[in-house]
Amino acid sequence: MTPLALTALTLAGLSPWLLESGPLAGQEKGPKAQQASEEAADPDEAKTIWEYLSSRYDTNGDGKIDKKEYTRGSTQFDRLDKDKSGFIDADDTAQAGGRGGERGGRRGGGGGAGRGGRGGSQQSAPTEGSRAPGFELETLYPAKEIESEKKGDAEDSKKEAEKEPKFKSVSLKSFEGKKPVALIFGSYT
Amino acid sequence: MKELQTTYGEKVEFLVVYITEAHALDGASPKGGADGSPIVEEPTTLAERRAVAQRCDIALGLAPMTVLLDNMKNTAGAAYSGHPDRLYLVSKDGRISYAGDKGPRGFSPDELEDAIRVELEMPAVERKASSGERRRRR
Repeated sequence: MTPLALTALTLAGLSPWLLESGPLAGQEKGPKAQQASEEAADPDEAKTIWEYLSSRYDTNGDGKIDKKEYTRGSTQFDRLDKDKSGFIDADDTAQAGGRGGERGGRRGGGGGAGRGGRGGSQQSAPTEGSRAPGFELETLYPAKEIESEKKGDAEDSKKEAEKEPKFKSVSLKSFEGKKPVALIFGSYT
Repeated sequence: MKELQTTYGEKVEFLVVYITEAHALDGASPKGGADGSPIVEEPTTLAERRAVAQRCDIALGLAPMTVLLDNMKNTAGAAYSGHPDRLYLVSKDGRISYAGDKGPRGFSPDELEDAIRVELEMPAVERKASSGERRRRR
């Protein structure tokens, strides 16, 4: 979701539990060299795109990322290698950041026009009065958290479910005849 | 939106549908880091999308709304033209009673609330005049 939209979402502020729990809680930032060969640096702590990418992929620490070091697809690599040097380096990401300099438009909500052309894969939006397109999607968190609530015996259910994490699927149709459904489409960025 | 969930959550199901990233750093419209946006690579698997959605949840607190992950074909996002963000209300009868305009400009929790109150047959909320025009009165 755009920051603006998410500001609206979080009018009540962050819940305390969010700051205490979750995979990022308690992580300490180690030196870059160490992180290069381990799992990616905490992406929410990297200050710039280059910092994030270099800590994740520049395994030999030479200040650039070649195709061997980059573990994602060639489409992404080509997008990132803006000057087509065959490497991803700080210059490439500086350009990417600069392009985001239309930030004024974003904050003011005036950037809407540019987004329409993205991807071309979007169908036109369903209209009011029409049947809502159905879907069945996986939940973000495993079913154990839902099961725990139902059974009321949180500890046992958790131990059970930890062995085999399962994600529940929720279908829009399941609410038909029961409750209206508010749908909020968005992403972190 | 959290306030809406708190107020109407017993009678209305709030579902967050987590779709393709609006501004992945390796996507078509990159942002991240220096401009204040989160640094996110475009997920290529459901597991990657799940990880980013969890970061989002931790940073912004989506609970107690249920968060659903769009599949990697981005089916739900495409069906609802949800990119980059958008609000809808689906009535009990399975029809769309409110279709918000495309975000961010069209992303209006106030409009959603108005639609919810109509759906629940509650009187309209009194609001001070805002810059955005209210789309309609029913």
